[in-house]
Amino acid sequence: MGASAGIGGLIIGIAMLVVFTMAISAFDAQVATGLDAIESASVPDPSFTIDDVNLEQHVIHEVSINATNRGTGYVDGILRANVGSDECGGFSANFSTTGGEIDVGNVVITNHGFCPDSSTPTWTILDTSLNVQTPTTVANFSAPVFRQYIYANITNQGEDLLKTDEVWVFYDGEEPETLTGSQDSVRSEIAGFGTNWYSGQTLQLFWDDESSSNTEYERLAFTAGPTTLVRSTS
Amino acid sequence: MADGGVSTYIMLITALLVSSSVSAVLIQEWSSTSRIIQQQQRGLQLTEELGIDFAGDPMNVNIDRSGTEHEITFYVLNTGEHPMDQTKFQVLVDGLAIPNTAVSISFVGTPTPTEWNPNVLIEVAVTNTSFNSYTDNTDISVFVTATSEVVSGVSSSASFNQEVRLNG
Repeated sequence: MGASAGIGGLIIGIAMLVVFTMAISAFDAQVATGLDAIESASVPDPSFTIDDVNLEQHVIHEVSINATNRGTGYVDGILRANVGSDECGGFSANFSTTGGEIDVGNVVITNHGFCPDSSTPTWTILDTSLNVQTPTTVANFSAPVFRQYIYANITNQGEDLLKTDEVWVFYDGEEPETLTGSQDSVRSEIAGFGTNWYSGQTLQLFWDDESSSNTEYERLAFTAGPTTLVRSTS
Repeated sequence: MADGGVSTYIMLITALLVSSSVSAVLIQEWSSTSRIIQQQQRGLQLTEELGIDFAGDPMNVNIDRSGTEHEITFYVLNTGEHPMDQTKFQVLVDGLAIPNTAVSISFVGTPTPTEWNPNVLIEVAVTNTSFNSYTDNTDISVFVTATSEVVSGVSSSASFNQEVRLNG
């Protein structure tokens, strides 16, 4: 009897151990799944602001002079542009000379400005003291290349790092492209940097819109994850 | 006494056999129940980790009126953590279910993606004769639902509803 009671006790003990193990494993699995769910739910949505968006049309993107129109009797100086009384938004470019002739391919724009339309502006050639030059033979600059430039500042207001190649830009709701892909590869502030957009960081954006249509966009939209912000251009 | 000892042993062995088989059944049922619960929880967790959202300017949704059936184009971003199946996609415009044959989906980006992974944008173009009555600045309701790829043997869906304004 004593042996059978012992065996009975052993069986009950083992059965309790099995039940306890099953209960613990089920509890562990539920806790792990619950924690995963909480972790995934706690990731905040991206939060950012569009501080401003400025669009400028008829920006003088490039100025050149060909070899037959270099003029004579010039010194190194500054090129200005105007259409009527409009001074093309303060356009200014520096040029150098060799033997009194303006150098081809060495007109460096220091302020791209913007003209009222795409007609060829009147060029004013100044010396470095801003006096109008009096050449022997007058130089003629070629018609400039006009483009549309867009400037914007956006700030990451959230606590998480965002990736600029995961932020989408829309122009009047169309032509989406990533923020990284949209930027001018030379002159944008973020060109050449990584794709990290840190919390609190303001990105100074610059678009050189090469579109021949020169569409004057009215609204720019930025989408990062479920967050979309839209701002009218000014 | 000897008879009593034998019968006690017979009862003990019978009890052992019965309890073993009951335990085996119990363990099997418990495992099965546990597996089902885990699968359901995985499904719930997957649902939490899926997301699609309207992307772009809701006030500037293009409508193309060049065809016999006017075409509305909008963009959808995978905002979840898992790939979605762009072939299992349903669009409702103002409550009208658009047949799959009238829904055209293309990936956006350079290089062009081939899978609808997280953060991948798709362009959705839908056509229907009912769109022919829409004028510019008409506000419409767009509902989209999509199914995920199978993740750990489980698949779930995500959806969004967005009021947008048409602008041809």
